[in-house]
Amino acid sequence: MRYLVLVSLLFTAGPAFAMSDAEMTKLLVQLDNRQKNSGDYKSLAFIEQKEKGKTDLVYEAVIYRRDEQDKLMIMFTRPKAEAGKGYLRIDKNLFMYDPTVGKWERRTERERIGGTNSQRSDFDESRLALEFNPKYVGEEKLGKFKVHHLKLEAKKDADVAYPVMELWVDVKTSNILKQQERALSGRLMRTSYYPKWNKLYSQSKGEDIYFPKEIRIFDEIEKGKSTLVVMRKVDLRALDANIFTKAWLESKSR
Amino acid sequence: MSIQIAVRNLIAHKFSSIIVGTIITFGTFLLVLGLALTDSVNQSMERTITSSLGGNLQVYSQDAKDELSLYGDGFMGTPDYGEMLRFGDAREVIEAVPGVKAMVPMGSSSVIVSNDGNELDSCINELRDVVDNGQQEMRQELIAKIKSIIADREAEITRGRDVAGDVERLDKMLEQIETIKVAGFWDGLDTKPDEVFYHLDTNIAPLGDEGKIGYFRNLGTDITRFSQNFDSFQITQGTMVPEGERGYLIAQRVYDQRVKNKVAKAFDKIKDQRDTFDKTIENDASLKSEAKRLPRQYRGITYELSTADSRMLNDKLKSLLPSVEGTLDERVQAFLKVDDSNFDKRYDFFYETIVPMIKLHWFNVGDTITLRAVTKSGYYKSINVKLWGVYNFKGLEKTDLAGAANLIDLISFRELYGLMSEEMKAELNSIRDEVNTQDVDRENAEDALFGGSDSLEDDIEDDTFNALDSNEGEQFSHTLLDTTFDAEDIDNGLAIHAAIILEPGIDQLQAKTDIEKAIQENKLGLQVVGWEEASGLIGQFIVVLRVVLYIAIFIIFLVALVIINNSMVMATLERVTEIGTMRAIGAQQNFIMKLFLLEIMILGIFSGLVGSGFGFLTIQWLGQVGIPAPSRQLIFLFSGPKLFPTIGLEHILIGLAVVLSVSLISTLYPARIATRIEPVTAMQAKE
Repeated sequence: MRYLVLVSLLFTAGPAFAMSDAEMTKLLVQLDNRQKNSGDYKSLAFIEQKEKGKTDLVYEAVIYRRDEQDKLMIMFTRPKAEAGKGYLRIDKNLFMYDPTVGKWERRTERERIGGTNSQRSDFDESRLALEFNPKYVGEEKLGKFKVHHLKLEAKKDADVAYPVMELWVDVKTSNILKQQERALSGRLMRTSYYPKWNKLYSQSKGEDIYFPKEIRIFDEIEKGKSTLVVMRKVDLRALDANIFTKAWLESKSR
Repeated sequence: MSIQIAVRNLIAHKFSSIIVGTIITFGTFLLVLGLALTDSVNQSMERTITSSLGGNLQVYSQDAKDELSLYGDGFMGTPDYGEMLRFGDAREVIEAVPGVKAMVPMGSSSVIVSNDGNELDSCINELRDVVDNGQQEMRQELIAKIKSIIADREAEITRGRDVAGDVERLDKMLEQIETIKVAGFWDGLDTKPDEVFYHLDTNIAPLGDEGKIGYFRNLGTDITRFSQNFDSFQITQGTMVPEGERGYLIAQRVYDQRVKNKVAKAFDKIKDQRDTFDKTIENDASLKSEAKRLPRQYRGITYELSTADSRMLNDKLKSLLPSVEGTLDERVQAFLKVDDSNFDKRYDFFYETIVPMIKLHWFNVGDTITLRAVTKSGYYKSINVKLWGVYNFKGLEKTDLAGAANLIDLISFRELYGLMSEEMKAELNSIRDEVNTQDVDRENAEDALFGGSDSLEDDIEDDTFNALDSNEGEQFSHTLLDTTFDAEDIDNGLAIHAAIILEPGIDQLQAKTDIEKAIQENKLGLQVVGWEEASGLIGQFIVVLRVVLYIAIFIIFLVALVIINNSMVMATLERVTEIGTMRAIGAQQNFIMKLFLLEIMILGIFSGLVGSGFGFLTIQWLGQVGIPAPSRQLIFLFSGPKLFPTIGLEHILIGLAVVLSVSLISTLYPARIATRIEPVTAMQAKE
């Protein structure tokens, strides 16, 4: 009898449960939706990059989003030398504007925002369900938290910086705590941590929206290089439609 | 007496004397020739480097992690040569050293130069300006141009669709192309221009090929000082950058090779090879392949034409090629089918008729160009600079190495370098202080971030974020291009390294020592290197050349040593009776030894002089006619298209000394054998 119990314990050991495809898709949709606002979104971000042997990069930027129309604008406001520089995403195009030369350039998804290790996707609306197919790896522990470990592979037409992503999602609160991005070869490129999420009631949406208060990005290729993004303030009031145009950003600089 | 006997012996043993003498003559000839040629290449390189880019000496930080390499060593990454934070401090001290003519500040960097995206982006941007200004005629022309580029892309995508696996993506591209064919689409430029441009920018422009982009190497310097101190510097087009103004001078080679229209470049290449090296399209594989590629580059002409010019060119091509029928594209393709019989005529037609209708370079002298570089801190910095002119170095027009770097004013270079001022650092600190963040170590990140607090979420009150206190509402100002500067600005800022130009006739080694002393006394923390070291791998070439020469000479003399030795041993054995007899009549061993060495000395001196004479005459002749440089790299080493070698007395003396030493060494063993021959041996041999 004791032997039977041992065998049955062996077979039931391992992950407490494995999520089905439908459950995983549901989780991704949930992760996307809770970050999405039906109205507009504006936040004030602090971005800092540290790299061994180099002067730190520090920026302040304002991020404007209109998720319903898939639009994003990132405008740098400080330091003075970088103020007025910005990024505009329209559909699948990412444009960068440099006011010192008065030029727009088409950039790729791999663009390092302001030369840091952050990318467009770190500031844009979450589109995990739309862009990736999930696989369940297992239930794991991250620090003192129990997490679902998911492996996501980019869908065929998705415009993403990296084709493979791994997510560690808190079982209890469904917040992403850790994210790793890999190249097609499987090489680990970035590890990002989301230690704190803020929750804010949106009048237009009629429910809470979530945003990471802090993102810590570690470069896995160039060791010792890390980026910190802090969302200092969030404003959910309606934005002027002009903000999502090239002309608007151009008009900010003389 | 001994000399007479030795000469008589050499004549008596003609055969072995001729063999040994020929070997010595040939060896001396090679040695003298090699030494003179190596020294001539060394002098040419010195002339090239000191008069074009390097100066006699270079000075840079003692804290540099990498060794200075003026021409780059081709490795990845940006080398760390340290910094001279205030160039003027070093200039004052070093220019006060006797013999120093001038010190020119420098700093190398790589930049990206690009136009406004691809050809479609450029056309759409032009169209936007034209619509804003209400220029109807230009509008139709640009629309026609966009349609023409899109038609080509459509054909390419359709062809690709038949072989590609990714049909879905290509179908979506074709769908986008259909949208601009819809009736009334272009009328939208009057009624809803924003929507039309939005569609063109986001859906149509990405269908274009990759835009024009160039990766250039820049030398940031005080351009006025540079032009005054490098003798071979000359402006070939445009003007010098006015003193105190920001600006850019592009190297002739870069302008011709990397900025020129690709059809023009192909025509130039074929002409150059035909005229300079007497090659033909028919017989040279590289030219044949260039000529084969040429018709496929017809868009390099047709995309550049206005509607009126298209019509005009079509008519002219009809006259030139009456048998060719079809569209302008087909006529241009037929025109570009060149062979040895029609090349000269087509080349003239291209430059006389087509070039005035197209943009020969994708940016021109007088244009403002945008340079983009990665700063010291790792972020991209872009600046606009005016291209004032094109420059090259006299005699080095055809070398890629001498003309590899474009010149940019030092103030703009510093902007691209991105050294942070104290004021900028303070600004960053104030932003950082507002946020008050903690550093997290990569290794312990998970424990630090997820090991403490139980809470992962915070509820935020709505009104906390209703206003943003940032600079968002400000109007940002950037007016870099128009600023001017003076000598004090040059002196008060950064340089990475600097060239030291010496007065004529000053000894480089002595000057180096004096400068080092001055640097040490003034605690400048700099190091000084000669032009050979400063030019990196290029400078090492002469060392390699010498090593190869010495190895070759060593092998030649090793072989010579064995042959001479063998011949002398054979000759000794033939002379057993003679030597035995000499010994019988009282010749001592020392006398025999002396005789043998004397014989080889006489032969060595005679043959060595003959060899040196041949070497001298050959170098004199080569010095008159010159040795042509068969490649662009050798033009750099030869300091021009031909090397005119010279010979000095030291080359002949070294040659003779080496050859006599080898001859003596190779004779020691046979001479020793000879000294051991006893008179009785001679008598036995008789019997």
